[in-house]
Amino acid sequence: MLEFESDLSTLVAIIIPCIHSYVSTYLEWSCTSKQIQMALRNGTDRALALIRTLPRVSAFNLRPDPASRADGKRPRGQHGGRRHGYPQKGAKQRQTFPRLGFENGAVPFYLRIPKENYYKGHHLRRQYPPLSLHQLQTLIDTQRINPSEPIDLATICNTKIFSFNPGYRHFGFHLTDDGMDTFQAKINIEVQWVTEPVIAAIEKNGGTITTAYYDVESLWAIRDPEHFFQRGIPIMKRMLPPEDAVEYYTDPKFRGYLADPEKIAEERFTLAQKYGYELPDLSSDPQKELLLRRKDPKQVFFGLQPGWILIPKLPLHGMSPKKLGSI
Amino acid sequence: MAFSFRAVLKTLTSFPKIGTRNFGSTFPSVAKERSLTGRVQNGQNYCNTGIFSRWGPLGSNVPQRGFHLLKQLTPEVKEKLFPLQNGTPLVESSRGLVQYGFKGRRKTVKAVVHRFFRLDWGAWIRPRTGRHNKLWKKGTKQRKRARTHVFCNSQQSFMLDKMVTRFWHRKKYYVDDPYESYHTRPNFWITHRR
Amino acid sequence: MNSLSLLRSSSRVLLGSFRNAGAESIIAPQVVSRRHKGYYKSSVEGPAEQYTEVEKSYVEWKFVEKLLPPKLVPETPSDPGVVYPSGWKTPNPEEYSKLPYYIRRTKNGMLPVYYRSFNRGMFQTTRVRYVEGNVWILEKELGQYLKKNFPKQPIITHANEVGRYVQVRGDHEPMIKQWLLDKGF
Repeated sequence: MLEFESDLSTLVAIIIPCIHSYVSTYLEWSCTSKQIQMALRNGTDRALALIRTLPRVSAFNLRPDPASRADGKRPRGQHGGRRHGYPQKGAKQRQTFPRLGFENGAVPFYLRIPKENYYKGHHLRRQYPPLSLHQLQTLIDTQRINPSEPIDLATICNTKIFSFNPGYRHFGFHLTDDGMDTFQAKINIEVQWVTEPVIAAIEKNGGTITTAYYDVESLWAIRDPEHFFQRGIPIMKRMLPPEDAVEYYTDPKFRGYLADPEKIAEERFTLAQKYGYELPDLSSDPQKELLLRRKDPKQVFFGLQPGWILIPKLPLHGMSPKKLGSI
Repeated sequence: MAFSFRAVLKTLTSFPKIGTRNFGSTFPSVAKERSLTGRVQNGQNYCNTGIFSRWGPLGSNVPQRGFHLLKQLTPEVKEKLFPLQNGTPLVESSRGLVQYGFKGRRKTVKAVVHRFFRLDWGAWIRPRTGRHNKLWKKGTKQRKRARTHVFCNSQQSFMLDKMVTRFWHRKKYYVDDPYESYHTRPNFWITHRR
Repeated sequence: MNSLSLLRSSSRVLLGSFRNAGAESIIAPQVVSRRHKGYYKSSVEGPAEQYTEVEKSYVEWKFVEKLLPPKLVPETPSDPGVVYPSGWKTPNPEEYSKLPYYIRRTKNGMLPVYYRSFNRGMFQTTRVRYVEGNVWILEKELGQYLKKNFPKQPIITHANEVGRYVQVRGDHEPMIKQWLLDKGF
C-alpha cells in the first residue's frame, strides 16, 4: 500500500503542468461560443475533477508566471537611454563610491581602535579538528569503522564522513570527551591530540591509544590514500615533530608515539588508579596482537614502508584519471 | 630514461607547468621498471602523451611560446626528449585562459585584523579606545574598565566581515584556545547553532 | 597474482578507477631521499647506477586493500529495535508498521530530519523528509506533539505530499528525532 501511495505522488507531479494548459485553453473557448461551451463542459468538469485530486495549490508548489518578470535589458535610446537611470553627476554616475568604512575624513572606526594583535602567530599554530568519543562510537555502531583493525587517520577519513584539510593547517584529529560515559568500544586508536579523561575512557574498556604527529606531506597522503596511490610516487618518510611539539609527543602521559613504552605502561596503571577503574591486562588479552600494533615513527601507512612504490598499470604521473580519459 | 633529461629541462624555463616531476619518479630505477611494464606491454608511450596533451593535440597550429628554446637544443637531446617524433618536437605549448587572477579578488584590510578578533558566532571583539591615555587621572575602576574588551555592534560586525576574506571567517580548531568558551553563543536563538 | 590478471585487462584504466587499474607490484628500492624546497621537487642525488636493484613484492598488497575506501556505503546493522551504546537505534518494523506513514532512514542510517536556518538566522525550519504514506496524518500528529511540549509557542507546520516532507517552523530537530525514534522509525 505504501508503495502505491508513493507512486501516485510522483505520477501527480508529472501531470500538473499538462492539466494547467488543458484547463486554460478550455476556459478560453468556453467564452467564445455557447455551443462549444456546452460541448466542452464535460471536459472542463473532468479537468476540475482531476484538479481536486491534486495536492493543494500553495506558496510551496507555485512558480511565478514567466511573463511576470521583465527581462534584464539595459534601456537604450528613447526609453531611459540617456544615463540609464543613473544621476547626471556625482559618485553614483561615476561609480566612485568611498571605500568601505570611510567616514568623510574623520578617523574611521576600524582605525580608531588601538592595536591588539589578536591573531599574532596564527600562521604557525597547529589546528586539530575535533572528533568526539560519541561520534567515534556511532561510527563503530553503524559499521563505518571496523574495531578489529587499528584505527588511524586513514580509517577515519575513509569513512568519508570526517575529514580535515592540511592546507588550513589542520594536523589531524583531536579526540574530545563528548560521550565519554557511554563509550564502550575496545579499540587500538591513533589520534593527534587527546586529553587525559579520553585516555582513561579508552583504556578502561581495554583499548589502547597513541598520539602521533604527521607532517604536512604525510597528512595529504594519509587523508586520501587512494588518491595518493594513484599518483604513483614513492611513499614518503614521516618527519619527526617540530620543536614545540616534541614535548607532547614524547610524553607518556599523553601516550606519545615517541615515549618510552615502559613509562607508558606505568602511566596506564597510574591513570587507572586516579580514575578508579581496574586496568584490563593486555598480556593475557586474546586481541593482544591488535592492541599492541604500532607504526614506526617514520611510517605513514600500516604495513607499507617508506620508499616503496605502488605501480599502477599505467604511469599516471600525477594526472587525474579524468584528464587521462580525454586523451 | 626520463631521469637523465632533468638538467636539460631545467633550462626550459618558459615552459608552463612542465615540471621535472612530470617526467617520472625521482627514482631512476623505478622509472625504468615502469617503462618495462606499463608502456611496452601496451605498445604506446603513455608518458609523453600524458604530459603534453595538456597543450593541445599533436601538430595543431597553436601559437608557441618557448619554442625558440627548443630550437637551440642539439639533435641528440631532441631525439632523447622526443623519441617518437624523429627530430620534430612534440611540444605544442600554448597558454590557456587565465580564469583566476589576483586582480578581481578582494584582499583583507590588515588594519582590521590587527585590531579586532572574530568569534565563531559572528561577533567581533575589540579593546577599548584610550585605554593607555591619561591614566594618571583615571581611578581604579575606570582603569580596570579600560582594560576590558567589548563587542562591536551588529552594523560594525557586518562591515568588518566584509573587510576581511573568507580565511578569517573560517573556524579555527586550536587546542587550549583561550577564547574557546566565547566562540559559541548557545543562549541566543539566532546564534545557538553556529 | 590477482593484481597481475587485472593488469592485463586493458583499457579501463583510462576511465579512471584505481581498483580496476590494479597495481602491478610493490617495489622497494633502497633510496636515500633528502628534502629540499619541496619533497617532490627535490633533486636526484646521483647517477642511476649508484642505486640498487628494485624488488617486486605481491605479499603486501593486502595492506593496500585495507587502505582503500569502500566503494559503497557499508550497510547498517539490521536487527530490529536494538539500541547501541552511542544511542543509535535500528528501526523496528513491529512498531512503525501500525502507523499510516513511514519514514525511511538515510543511507548513513540516520533519521532524515534536517534543520535549516536562513536569512542571517532569522528564519529556522525543521524538515522531516522521505515520508511515505499519509503525510497529512504525520503533520497533524507532529503538530499536536510539539504543541503539547511548547504550549506558548506557535507551532506552524506544513506538509508537501509531492515533495514527501513535513516541515515545522523553528528548531525542533532533537525533539522530533526522539519522537520518531520512540515511534520505531
